[in-house]
Amino acid sequence: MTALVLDRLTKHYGDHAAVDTLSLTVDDGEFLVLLGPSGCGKTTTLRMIAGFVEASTGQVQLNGRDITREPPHRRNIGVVFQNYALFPHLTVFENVAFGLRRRKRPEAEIRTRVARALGLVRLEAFADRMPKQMSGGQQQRVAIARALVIEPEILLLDEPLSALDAKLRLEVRQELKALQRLLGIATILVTHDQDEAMSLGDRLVVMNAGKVEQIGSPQALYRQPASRFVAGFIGRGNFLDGAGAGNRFISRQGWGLETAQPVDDIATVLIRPEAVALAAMAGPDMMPARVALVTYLGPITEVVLELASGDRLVAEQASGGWLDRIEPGQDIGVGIPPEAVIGLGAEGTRV
Amino acid sequence: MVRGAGFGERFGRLAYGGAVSAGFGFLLLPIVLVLWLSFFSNEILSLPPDGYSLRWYEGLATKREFTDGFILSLEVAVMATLVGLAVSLPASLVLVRGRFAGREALLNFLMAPLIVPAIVIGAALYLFFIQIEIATDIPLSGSAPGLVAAHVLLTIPWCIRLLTANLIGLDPAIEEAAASLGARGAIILARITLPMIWPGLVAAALFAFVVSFGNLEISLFLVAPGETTLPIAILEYLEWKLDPTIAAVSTLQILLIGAGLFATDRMVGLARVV
Repeated sequence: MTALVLDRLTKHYGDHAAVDTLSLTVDDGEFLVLLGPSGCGKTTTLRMIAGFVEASTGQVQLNGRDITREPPHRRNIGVVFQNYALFPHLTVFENVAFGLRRRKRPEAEIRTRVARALGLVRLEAFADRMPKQMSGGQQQRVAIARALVIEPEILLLDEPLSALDAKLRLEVRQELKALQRLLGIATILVTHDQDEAMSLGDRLVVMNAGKVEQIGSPQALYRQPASRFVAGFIGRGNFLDGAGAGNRFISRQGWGLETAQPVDDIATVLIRPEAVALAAMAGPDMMPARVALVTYLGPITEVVLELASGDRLVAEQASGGWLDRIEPGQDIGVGIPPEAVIGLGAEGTRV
Repeated sequence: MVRGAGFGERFGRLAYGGAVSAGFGFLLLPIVLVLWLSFFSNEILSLPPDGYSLRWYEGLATKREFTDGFILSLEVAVMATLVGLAVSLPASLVLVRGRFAGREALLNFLMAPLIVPAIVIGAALYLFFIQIEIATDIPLSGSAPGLVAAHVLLTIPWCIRLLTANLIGLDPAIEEAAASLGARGAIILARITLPMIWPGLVAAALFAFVVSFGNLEISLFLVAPGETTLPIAILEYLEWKLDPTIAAVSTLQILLIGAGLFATDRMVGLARVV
């Protein structure tokens, strides 16, 4: 079942379209991530769904009901904000109970439901605390409990982890994912952090300049990016400009590459650093390349290579063996499997 | 060299402390003098006093001009504070939240009573009230509503300053969170916004009250004959008599305002709001 439908949703600020005819759907229980650089319209989209920003044109449907013109307090949507946005003058209990009190639930029911919600985020013992007596991670968990306790039809998360420090971010992230799976609630998260997006989302929506660049699973977006923008935003990569014909791509510097897919009319290809094969010496299928820079990162080693053609290539391999001993200036062998060469369309177009 | 630097530093600190003490002394000495004078027993002020007594305080109860003046001042100040807050709160919300042309101009306009000399405001209001009376037969000058309206003008800049300062520091996401949880506008204001700016509200009320209660210049033009506020009663008394009665009145006034400050500090902590 579809929980949320956005139909050609648009927001204009003067002549500028912050969100431009955006259409997408979120299924029941699905975790959707809106990903993009700042100013791409992802937050505006979320705020239109929550009702904090009025859509210029287009429609928002929640479980079949058109809520485009509904005020936020009648939407039954849970929202979690970047800076927690807890009510500072209320206890944790009253923060979580706020939505139930607005719904005029009986006191006994409020007590059990608040206790259950606080239990979900493991903060039962903190009900009588004031928000400022708690750490950032605890505060954000209170905010999550507060949003969930009203049993919203969809949960919206606006960069909920970016105010937390790195270690805590990982912890709350895993907790969030487990909680979302447990409750099976349709969820939209907005972020500019690709790790967060990849680890949380069932599907990712990459946005750029108010439009959708690509929608797909993390794997699909990584393996088959539709555009240079998506490829650059998700993971890292080597981009080679040149010209393709049939199953052969020639870089501008004259380096010829075999490709698994036809690359007619393709002007840019992507090679992921980990797909580059390295060998201690050149040989069959391994052409010579000079090491320009070695960066040891623990489990992996990153090598910047300079090819005979003048093209530069970043490669990543599991550390160990001969790779631990190479130095800049050394010659090694490099090979590109044909299936590692991914043709990219021009900006915003799909191959 | 090191000892020299130490001496210079110590001398600087001493000079600084001395200057601060001198400043405070200059401000506080007249108040202390007034307190002291109010207990002198002799009618003509002279130092040292012949003795001490409470007769000036006892005499106050029978002086109608002071008791009536005190009550009128209190009534006007309370009304002006309440109306001033009622006007300033929505204005502050719009000024902080709104993004519209002329926002700065509106803010400056509302601050204007701070800049225009009170005597000018008083004279202008007097003429204005007379014109209104001629045109509509509504007697504003010399009436309590007219006086309150004039004092509201004085309270607005203080209320707006303190309320906007509090509202600016308020994360709009908190109100959005309340809305998403099912609270409509009026509930958000009552349950979330007002409790969060409570310190600002209390401080605004206190400042508004003090400004109105102590105002002389505007009231001078607008009170009816025989019905005066406390500051005017003091001024009129001083015109033909100079006994410690005035000191006793002033002492009571200082105590009242001091009590207000103390209560505010207890409630919200003055340092946090001013």
